Amino acid sequence: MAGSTLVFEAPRSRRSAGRGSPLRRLLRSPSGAVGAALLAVLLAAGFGASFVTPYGPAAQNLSLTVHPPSLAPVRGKVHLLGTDQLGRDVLSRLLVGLRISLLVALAVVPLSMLLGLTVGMVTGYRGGWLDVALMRLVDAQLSIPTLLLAVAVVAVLGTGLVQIVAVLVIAGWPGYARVVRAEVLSLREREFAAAARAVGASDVRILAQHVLPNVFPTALVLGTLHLPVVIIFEAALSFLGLGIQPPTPSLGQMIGQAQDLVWQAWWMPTIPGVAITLVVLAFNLLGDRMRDVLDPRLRGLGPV
Amino acid sequence: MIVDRWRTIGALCAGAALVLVLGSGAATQAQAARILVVAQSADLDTGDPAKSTGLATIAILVNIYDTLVHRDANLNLKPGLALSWRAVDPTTWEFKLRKGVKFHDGEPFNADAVKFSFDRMLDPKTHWPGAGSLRLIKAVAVVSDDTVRFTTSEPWPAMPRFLGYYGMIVPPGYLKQNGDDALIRHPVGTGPYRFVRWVKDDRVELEANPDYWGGRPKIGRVVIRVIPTDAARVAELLAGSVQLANLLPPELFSPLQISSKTKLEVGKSLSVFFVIYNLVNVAKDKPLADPRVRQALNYAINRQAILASVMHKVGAPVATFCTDVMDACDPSIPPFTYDQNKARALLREAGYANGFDFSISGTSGTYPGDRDIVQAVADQLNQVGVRTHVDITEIGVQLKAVLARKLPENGWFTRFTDFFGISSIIPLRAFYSPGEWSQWRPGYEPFNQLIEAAQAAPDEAKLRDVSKRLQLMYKEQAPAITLFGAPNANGMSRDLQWTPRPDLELTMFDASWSR
Amino acid sequence: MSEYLVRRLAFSVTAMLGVVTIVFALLHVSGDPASLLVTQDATRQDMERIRQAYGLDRPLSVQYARFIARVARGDLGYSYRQDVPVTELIAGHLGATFELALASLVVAIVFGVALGTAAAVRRGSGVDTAAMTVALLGTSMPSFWLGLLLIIVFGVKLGWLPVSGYGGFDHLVMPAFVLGGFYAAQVGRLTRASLLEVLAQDYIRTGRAKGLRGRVVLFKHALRNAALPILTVLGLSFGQMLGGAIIVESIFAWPGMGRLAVQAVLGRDFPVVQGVAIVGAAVFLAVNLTVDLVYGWIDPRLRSAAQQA
Repeated sequence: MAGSTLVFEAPRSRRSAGRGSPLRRLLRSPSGAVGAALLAVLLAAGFGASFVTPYGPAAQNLSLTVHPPSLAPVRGKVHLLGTDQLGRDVLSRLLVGLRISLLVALAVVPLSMLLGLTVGMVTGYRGGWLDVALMRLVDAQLSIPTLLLAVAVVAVLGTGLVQIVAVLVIAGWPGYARVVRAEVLSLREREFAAAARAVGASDVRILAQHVLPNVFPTALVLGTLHLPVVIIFEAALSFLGLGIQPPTPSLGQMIGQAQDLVWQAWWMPTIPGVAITLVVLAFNLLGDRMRDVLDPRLRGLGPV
Repeated sequence: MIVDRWRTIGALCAGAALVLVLGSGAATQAQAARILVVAQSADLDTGDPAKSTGLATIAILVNIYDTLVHRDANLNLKPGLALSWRAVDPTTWEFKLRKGVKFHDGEPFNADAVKFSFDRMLDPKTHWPGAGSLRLIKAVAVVSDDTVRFTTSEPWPAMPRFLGYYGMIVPPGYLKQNGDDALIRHPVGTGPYRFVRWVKDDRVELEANPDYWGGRPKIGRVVIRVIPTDAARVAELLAGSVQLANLLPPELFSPLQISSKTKLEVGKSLSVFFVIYNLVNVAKDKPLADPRVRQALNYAINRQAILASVMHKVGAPVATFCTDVMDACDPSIPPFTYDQNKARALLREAGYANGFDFSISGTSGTYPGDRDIVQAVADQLNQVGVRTHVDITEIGVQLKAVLARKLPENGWFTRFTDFFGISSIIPLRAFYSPGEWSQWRPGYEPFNQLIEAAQAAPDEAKLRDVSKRLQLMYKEQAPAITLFGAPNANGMSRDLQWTPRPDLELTMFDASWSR
Repeated sequence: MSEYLVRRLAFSVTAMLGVVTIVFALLHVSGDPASLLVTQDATRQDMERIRQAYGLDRPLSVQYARFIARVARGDLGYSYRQDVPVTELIAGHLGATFELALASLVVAIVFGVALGTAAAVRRGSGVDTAAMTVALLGTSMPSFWLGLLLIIVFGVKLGWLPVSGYGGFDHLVMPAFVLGGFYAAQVGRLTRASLLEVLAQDYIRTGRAKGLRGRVVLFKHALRNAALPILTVLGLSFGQMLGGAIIVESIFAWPGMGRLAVQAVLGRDFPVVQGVAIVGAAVFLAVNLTVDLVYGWIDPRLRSAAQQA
């Protein structure tokens, strides 16, 4: 996703272009199964366990600060993953932070996909000055390193949960738009489109009924590539203090606040990082397999 | 044979004695030769004391220049470049100067140098940021080579105390010869250390002045480096490449306390943490307009718990607005106790049995421990029904809002410091209604009057009396939640002997290596 | 070739124009641009003066033209918080970021190729799985987490490397690893894939007949084949590395442009944020242009493919 469209494609063996439903093919491979299992656990933790945490994520206990993880109760309380510098339970904050990170990702991806699909379809199909202008915008936006762009937008919009979603959608839509547009360009000339036009169908109709079903899988594939990126970006922004603000916990924020505590509390920056890595890993594994299953041609588009 | 043996023994003893003598001489030489590396978080602004009041700058320049009055580690006044001083009349102070002192360039120190220095630093064209603190000085007159008289526009009994912090004496001859900007890059003073080199954003090198009037410093060479990140300063302390680092945050105390090569020394503090109430034109029906509510929040805070956890037991509770090392701070006035029942009772009495909403503007990384302190405070206020929300902002943005008196939040978490060590200064800067930082407007007239009385107190006894009344009124009116004194934590090598100063000056004159 | 050059150059210029437009739009989205450009103690007169100087009272199109003209001249505005022109500030920090980026590239190439080759050579074995798992983890781990882990292990527990700061070689090691690690993983996977491709094609023909020497020649040929796509990925990644540098510089207190940008955002020093965005994009485009030109020169076939862009 850069200045030029030169993309390296490695021909893939077509092992997985076999029989069976996509889901079964997905789960047949070890990496796909692992990814799916991991994701299932994380979703259960983030959207289930996070509502029944042993302690409130903001519940402080100044007499039990910076306590290492332990199975045994300390002064009557069990903190499986230890406590932070204000005595808050790390496990509870981890679960709620996981929920927030997943929410952000599950909000940003569909929104950017929607925006990118719309722009891509309209410009690809219609062409004209709108196409030129919007594509220039897309190229320009993609020329600014993504995190830098996100940081600049935060400078204008400010920090917080809603703002972060907006920032990440703004940073994310051009990637979809460009690829979708390229697909649409090739579809435009196909017979069914010409036939539909001959019959007198409106542009919107053609887009909705013929173009969209064809480009949607592509967008979906891009979505699977985008999910892990959003998780990491949100964590990065929160880590820098530009994302989710306390007291709402966020995995990146927890790592950022624990930076100076590396000497006395190594578990505080380490544990949230493990969580982030697991989420991204799950999305990466599943995403890889999904791409193999859905559309092997696009395998070459590596994450940026 | 026996004679030979005795001769051998004698020779051996003589040899041993020689070695011991030379050795210990070498050891002291080694002590003097061993370089002390100090790390600060910021660089020197300028070598000219009349151009800056920056903390990091003053911390270095105190080694090169002297003031007329010196202060010891408890801020007691001692002779500096002046041997004695007296008030000739309420608006005239006479200082008797030390004789035989020379600047590092050989020039003699005398009354002319004093007059020159003060005229220069108070000249509006010099733009010295500290001139406002010395604005009561009307004129400086040379009476004789070793006597100077200061005339003030109003009686100023506290002047010597101010001259213990401000008023570094510069060499007139050196400036006349090399231009008025000559000190910026090459400072020359009368102090215990001479300037050697300044590598911008990296280090300043100093060497001992053997002719210093106070005696030769024990440590021969001092290098003051710039290491902006706290963690990096601590890392270098642990590695031994730095032997002293000041202003460390609480999160980094424990590695220094644990290591066998380092120690954490805590000095007295001149800084106090507050959550100052935003009382700018506060409407009568708002919770904060009622002093009982303002007091109630004070009773809701468990200061000891915060000190023990977030501050790692460094720092002491403060009753009102002054620390124990400040002049005229009455130790008999007790701090607010931690009493949730009393807090709730006061709130009920004021009509807020169901609590109310409260917001605090806080910072992260500006003051040691700030982010965690303000969150702990918010949590404790929540426990008594005051629904508290914290906004973390960047310091520049926060201060802009405060100065414009447009702070959106109800509370301003901040720290006030008084380098002069007088108990009435923080109230003057923080709560006195006409003050530029004050969020108490229109304020409470009797409180303002007491502050004015403290500034004009003609002697120590009167100052103590007014100060005591001011402190009692503060507890009654509670324009802020008083938290505690800010820590003055310094990490140093275990074999360095040095007492941290409350005014955060890095005076290396009394530093030495233990054996 | 020259047509290709002109075309790519034109593309870069228009993209740069687009970037400047986006940055301009950001400034005005907020409503009162003047408040974004001044420092905390600005008075109303200061704000008026800024409005005059920046022409903020003029119609938007005039402002836009003036903005473009200023940027083209190399004037990126003034940082009132730090009291210096933005270009001076950026110039002072650019070197450190470049140093970091280049070191990271070296790490990415050396470790990526090594990883990928080891995996390809021992295809299917434990080494292969291990290497590819490492690569997968490398792309899944957040860089700031990796950075902190390295600091904990090598800085705090072992004390081998300095915890942060700018200085000599040992200050550069951990930051370069953290920034380059992600790309090393990508290069690793890419190397493995393309080596396998080449090996699969020629292995059967070469067979065991040629013995060891044949395989060595094979590798050289394979690596050369892999070099091109690797270079492309790295070239494209360099720009993103400038973004990743933001994080690495923050963790390690590395005085580069990324750190400058973060502090500027926190301190509401918008002219600096604008300046860093523009310079960052300019570098990104310049690098891409170079990579495309080199690529196009090496392989003329791809020039025509690129014309679809």
